[in-house]
Amino acid sequence: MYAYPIWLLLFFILPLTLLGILKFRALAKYKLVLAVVVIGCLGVAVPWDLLSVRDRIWYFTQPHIVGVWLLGLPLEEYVYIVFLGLLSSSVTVLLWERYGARQ
Amino acid sequence: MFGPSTYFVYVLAFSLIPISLFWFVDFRFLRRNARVIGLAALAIFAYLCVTDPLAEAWHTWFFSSDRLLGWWMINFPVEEGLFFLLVPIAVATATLSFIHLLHTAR
Repeated sequence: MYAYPIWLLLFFILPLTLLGILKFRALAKYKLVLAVVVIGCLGVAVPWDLLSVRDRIWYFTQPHIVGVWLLGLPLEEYVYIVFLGLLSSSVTVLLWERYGARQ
Repeated sequence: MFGPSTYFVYVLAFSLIPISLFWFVDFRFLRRNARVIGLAALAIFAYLCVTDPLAEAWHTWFFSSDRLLGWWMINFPVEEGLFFLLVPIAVATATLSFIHLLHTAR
């Protein structure tokens, strides 16, 4: 029951929260970049997801999701898009701080 | 829409178009930082290869077999593996492009 939100909590929300706490200073410098990337992720991934659900590439059933749907997608999909985007972007920012070629 | 190639076509279209646009606009900067993009993509790819099989096993979502090429890795379709690789490349590329844009603006 509620496998999708539990999976998100364990593998995206908690690790990203931990990363945010441990690397707060480094990530805070790039909060505008992270925000823009997340908005961009939503802009690309939501239409992609809507098409995929419409074409039934993948589908969702209760009780594996909470059951709250927004604009044709379960709430968990928005959380997945935002947190996958944030996680990927945060890892990139941290690697950029260490290995980035600024010139 | 594309039969068994539907997921494959969508993965390529929705990730390669943004990646190509960013590389077209900011090629020199991104080429200098290709190592950062590669390392970030590799890290997220590995992470998703570990966590996604659990999502499949827990039935968080289901795939329609008539929309897939039919090749499977562990317990997820090969298109999902392509997603794990291309989406982090797209996000890492976008992140670096926006960092560069902000630095240039300052």
